[in-house]
Amino acid sequence: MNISQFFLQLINGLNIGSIYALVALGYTMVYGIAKLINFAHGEIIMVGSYTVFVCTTLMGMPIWLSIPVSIIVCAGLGICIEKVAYKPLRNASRIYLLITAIGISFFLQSLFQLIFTSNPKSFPTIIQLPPLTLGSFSISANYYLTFVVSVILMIVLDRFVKLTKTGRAMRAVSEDQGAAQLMGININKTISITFAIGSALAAVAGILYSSSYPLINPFMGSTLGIKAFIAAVVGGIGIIPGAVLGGFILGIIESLTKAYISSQMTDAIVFLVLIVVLVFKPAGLLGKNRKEKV
Amino acid sequence: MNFKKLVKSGLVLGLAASMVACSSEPGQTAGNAGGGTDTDAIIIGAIGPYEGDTSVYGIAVKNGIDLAITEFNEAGNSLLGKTVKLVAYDSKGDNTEATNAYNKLVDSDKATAIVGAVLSGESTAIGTASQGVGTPILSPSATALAFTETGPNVFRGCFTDPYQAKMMGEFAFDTLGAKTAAVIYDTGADYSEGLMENFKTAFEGKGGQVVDVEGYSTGDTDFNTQLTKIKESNVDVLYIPNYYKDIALITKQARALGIEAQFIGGDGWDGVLSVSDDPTVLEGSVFVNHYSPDDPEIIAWAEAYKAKYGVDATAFAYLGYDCAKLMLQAIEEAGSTDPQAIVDALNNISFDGVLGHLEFDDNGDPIKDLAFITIKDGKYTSYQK
Repeated sequence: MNISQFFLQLINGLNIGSIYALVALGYTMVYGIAKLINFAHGEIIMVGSYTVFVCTTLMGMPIWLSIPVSIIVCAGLGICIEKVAYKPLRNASRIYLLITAIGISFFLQSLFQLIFTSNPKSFPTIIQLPPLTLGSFSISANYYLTFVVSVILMIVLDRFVKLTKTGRAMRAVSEDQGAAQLMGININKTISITFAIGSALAAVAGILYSSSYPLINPFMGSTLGIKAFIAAVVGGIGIIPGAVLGGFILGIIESLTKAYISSQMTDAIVFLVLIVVLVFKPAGLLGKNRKEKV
Repeated sequence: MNFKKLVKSGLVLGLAASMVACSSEPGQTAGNAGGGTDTDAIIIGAIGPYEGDTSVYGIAVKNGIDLAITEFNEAGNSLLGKTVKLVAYDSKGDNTEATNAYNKLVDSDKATAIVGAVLSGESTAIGTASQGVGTPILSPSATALAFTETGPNVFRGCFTDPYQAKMMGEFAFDTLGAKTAAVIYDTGADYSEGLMENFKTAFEGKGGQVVDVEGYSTGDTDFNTQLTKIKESNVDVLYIPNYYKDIALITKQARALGIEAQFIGGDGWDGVLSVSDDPTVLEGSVFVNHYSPDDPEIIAWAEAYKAKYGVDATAFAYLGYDCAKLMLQAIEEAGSTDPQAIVDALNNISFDGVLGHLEFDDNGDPIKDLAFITIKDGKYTSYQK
């Protein structure tokens, strides 16, 4: 086995893993607080990418401006989805929420297919930094930026949930909604903030993903969403560092499987890992200490 | 019958009616489609993907056919004393949808002949479905070998996958001077796999070496792992036999990794510039296509096409146009709408279209030339050494 080749494949794995990690952060955030697997999360990524596309390619906005616009649009969309589709069902059985989430996901896909057709659109080049050179390796800007952004966001989120007042409110809502309300916490506001943060993360993930793979289509979020969901579960859903760990593990497994076993076996092996993790640690790799849950 | 039962049966009936209503409109495209039979016109059917990933191909073929038929009618011509009418249905790139569309064309629209389908898989599906009635089928773009093997009434207007891959393999060795090659292909697409195998055979037959063959799954967007391995092999050319969407991503990632090999490919490359955000990565690539973009007749035709449809003509548009004209000529020569008579006429045809001269061999495959195209200054041009 060639060592430098192996190292390069690890970097490839970390790159796609960082994207899974970013998406998984959003999943975990919403699950941790609202106890809802938001299957529309993948579609918010897609909306984030299309927003940048519309702002720059169609409206001629500068790129630096299109990124905050996209984040705001997605955060707003997240709040809207929560208010319209999830809030009326808050006291209903979990299964209704899950089905509603899938419905929202299909709705957004079809809506964007109607507006933009399903032809892929070319995504503008956003990141124009020089590659990082480490000895004989050169790591492209997309790679290290995605990695750095996902690690920073993980730390910020983790601190936010643990140290701020809003974060404490989120943890309280997560533990016991009724008790939290009695303590004077505004549940509606807290859940809205959770959705806004989760969706803003999805926008960032969408922008970074589309910079690495610059073709966007209305279905781009579905596979990405499923992979990130697996990452969140492997790491321990509801646990912020777990999402990032799960994302990295998933990316590296994919990359090494493609490189050394077979590219057709990739998904089979990824799902096998999920099953093994769930058999031995049903709460995920970091899911031991239940007090850690956000 | 009590009230509940009445309501229930009413609901069932309503549901059934709405399903019938849905299934009777499988994506009919507006403008050129009419329901039922039209005894005053000869109906030419078209099937192709007008939505979805491959709609660039389907719409171009449909426009080409539409242009040929519009020109025919506007020139005041008549075919067996009637006008010609196009009825087109969307297959969405799906084999079952294509078969449904075929059945609808033959059963309710009474189509005399079909110019379609567009993709290899859906064309093979309608070829198989046509074996009962024997409706003449001419696909402008189905390149898979198996398509014309479905029956004697099935023809194609483009060269086959094995043929184009063989020509590319020999061209890469003889003209481009490549000694080593790598291939990255989609393991889930017959088109891609067929080209990979035939390219490998031809290139190695000439004395070249295919050092690395890498596969990926349909729908993948990350090719860095495979490309990292290809970079290691340091080859002269990288053969990318696929459709334009994957090509745009593969070429971009390959250049970002520092792969310097020349990119070569098949006719799926046509249209790649329309989705590339950075055409410089494609500079110097060579692929096989159905026509040369520098031919004056081609240029004049492309201008007329663009004026009418507002988009640039691709090979698929030329093929659609030529195949529609060829079918009209065959019906004229047959002197009737009898399927067997038209098939006989197709077998003996000698056709001159905008893409040049064409005749059919015993399998229903065309005997015609192909062109090598290179991307120069962000434009398609004929390859010149």
